[in-house]
Amino acid sequence: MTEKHSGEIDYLAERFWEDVSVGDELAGFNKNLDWTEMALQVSGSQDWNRVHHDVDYARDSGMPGIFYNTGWTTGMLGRLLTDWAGRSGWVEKLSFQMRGMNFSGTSVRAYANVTGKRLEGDRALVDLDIFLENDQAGVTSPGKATVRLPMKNQ
Amino acid sequence: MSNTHPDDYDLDAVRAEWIGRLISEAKGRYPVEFDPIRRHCHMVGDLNPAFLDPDVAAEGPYAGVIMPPSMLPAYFAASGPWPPNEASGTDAETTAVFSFGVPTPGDRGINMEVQWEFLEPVRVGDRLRLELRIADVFKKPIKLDPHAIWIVTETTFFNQHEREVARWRNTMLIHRSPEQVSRDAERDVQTGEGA
Repeated sequence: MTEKHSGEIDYLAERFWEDVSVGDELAGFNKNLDWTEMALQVSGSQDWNRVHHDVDYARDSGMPGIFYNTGWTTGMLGRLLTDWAGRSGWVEKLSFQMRGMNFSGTSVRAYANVTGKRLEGDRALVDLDIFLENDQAGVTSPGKATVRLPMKNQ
Repeated sequence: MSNTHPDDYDLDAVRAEWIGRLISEAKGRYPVEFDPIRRHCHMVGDLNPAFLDPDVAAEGPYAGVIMPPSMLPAYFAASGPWPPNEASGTDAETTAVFSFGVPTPGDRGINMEVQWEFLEPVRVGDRLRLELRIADVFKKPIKLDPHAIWIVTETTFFNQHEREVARWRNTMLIHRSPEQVSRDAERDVQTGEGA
């Protein structure tokens, strides 16, 4: 699994369990959050909770403004993992908390660290700490993930 | 719309009635489709051909396009956001309140924590259904509302072969609006109670 250049990912390559080490960092990706991105999160998630698209309602709910939703956060962290996992990698587990909000006019970075490797039966697993970090609010969604990778002898 | 004063709210009774209760057995109105997957990928800038390119995906390990694991399977396992289908348990009122029908003092919802297990790939054309249960209901104060109610749900997703494809444990926070908090406080002053 290689990055061809500046973020262009070779999605057809494999990432093998043997080539991963505890402490590896996933550089991940950045995204600037503007109003178009805000519209895309509603389109992509079909989440109609008004705190994600109705400024007056969000403020009436005690929020500073409309903020990005759980489907979007899941998608960002999911992309982080599937970008990295390679052609045959499989995300087995993904969990995170919403500790802060992401608003338009800010930017975010999704990144991760490898925290463990283990074999369970015929499953070769990698454990990761995952993060969505906002340039103004800090880490808004910390979490954990487990990815199953192919082995070279399989 | 709930707007129950916290003094009138019986958490023990709510827990006894709702924890463990099967809330929804929704079934997707449509099979898993290409374009909602494309919109999900567009949302987060995901260019992975396993999710977007049928020709490339056909040569991959799943022999076709699969749904990104991060795309909430609920999208295809419920009736969809519109038009509402009362039989699915996803009518507009329930969806808007996000309390799954559990009584709460407030009517404003924020999602707080998600835990996913992805068991099998979901392919374009699959038919999904879900079973959603209430796992826990408890009170935990937040800055906005000292009487915020937290609702934990557990959802299992099945494909058309009745195989589990995903499990989802979700924690939703239901709080009162600042206006409702003020209104409830006014009643406390009038009655001499302390919410």
